[in-house]
Amino acid sequence: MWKILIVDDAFANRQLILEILKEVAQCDVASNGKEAIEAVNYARDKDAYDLILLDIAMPEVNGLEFLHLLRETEKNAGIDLGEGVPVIMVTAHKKPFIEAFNEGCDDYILKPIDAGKLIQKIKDKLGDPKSA
Amino acid sequence: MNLDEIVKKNSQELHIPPETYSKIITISFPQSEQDINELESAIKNTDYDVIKSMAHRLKGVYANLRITEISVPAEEIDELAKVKGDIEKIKDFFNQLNKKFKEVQEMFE
Repeated sequence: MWKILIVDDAFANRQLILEILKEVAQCDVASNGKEAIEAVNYARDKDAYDLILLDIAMPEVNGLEFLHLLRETEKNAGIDLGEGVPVIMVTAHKKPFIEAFNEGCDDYILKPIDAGKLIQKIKDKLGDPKSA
Repeated sequence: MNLDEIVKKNSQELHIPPETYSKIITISFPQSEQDINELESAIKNTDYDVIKSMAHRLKGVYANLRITEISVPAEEIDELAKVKGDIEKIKDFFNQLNKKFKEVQEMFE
């Protein structure tokens, strides 16, 4: 199974993605960038995330700020841009945020989420999920 | 469409069981109610930043849940707030959104 962190401030969105991915991924959730960075740091040395699904507009630490922190942390650990944990932006904006790609986002999917497309995007990054 | 038809159609689109869809929408109501209350206060205070942020969240949630009668007015509010648009138009869209939210909430509860 993939190990995925879902970052979204809306409870319904987190639950929906959890349900969509439940057969293929073990997921954790965070409701803002601050919680997300804590989750990433906690998991790093034990069982790091394979991928992060990231909302952009969030309170406290937003998606762009989170991405900046994540890539900075990776850079300090000697991980080059493009080699770190893949991040797919999940956004209700009409167009993806160019700033997010500048901060090291790898791909995007627009809300409303299409379950098939979401799984395919993850597969494109990670390949087929391993058996549990 | 009646409630069963809505749940069946939307859950099929999301590839999740109908009962899971109903559960997610029902347990999402408290956060939505809070967002709608904050949105209403922000409109009264002409606070475009909060209007945008609340409308944007409601747009995302109800677009994902395939309840376009709520996501569409939320999107209109979001777009108007981005350009600090006509507050009277925002109020009209808010009234549509609020009315539809109450109807959906009644259907599911």
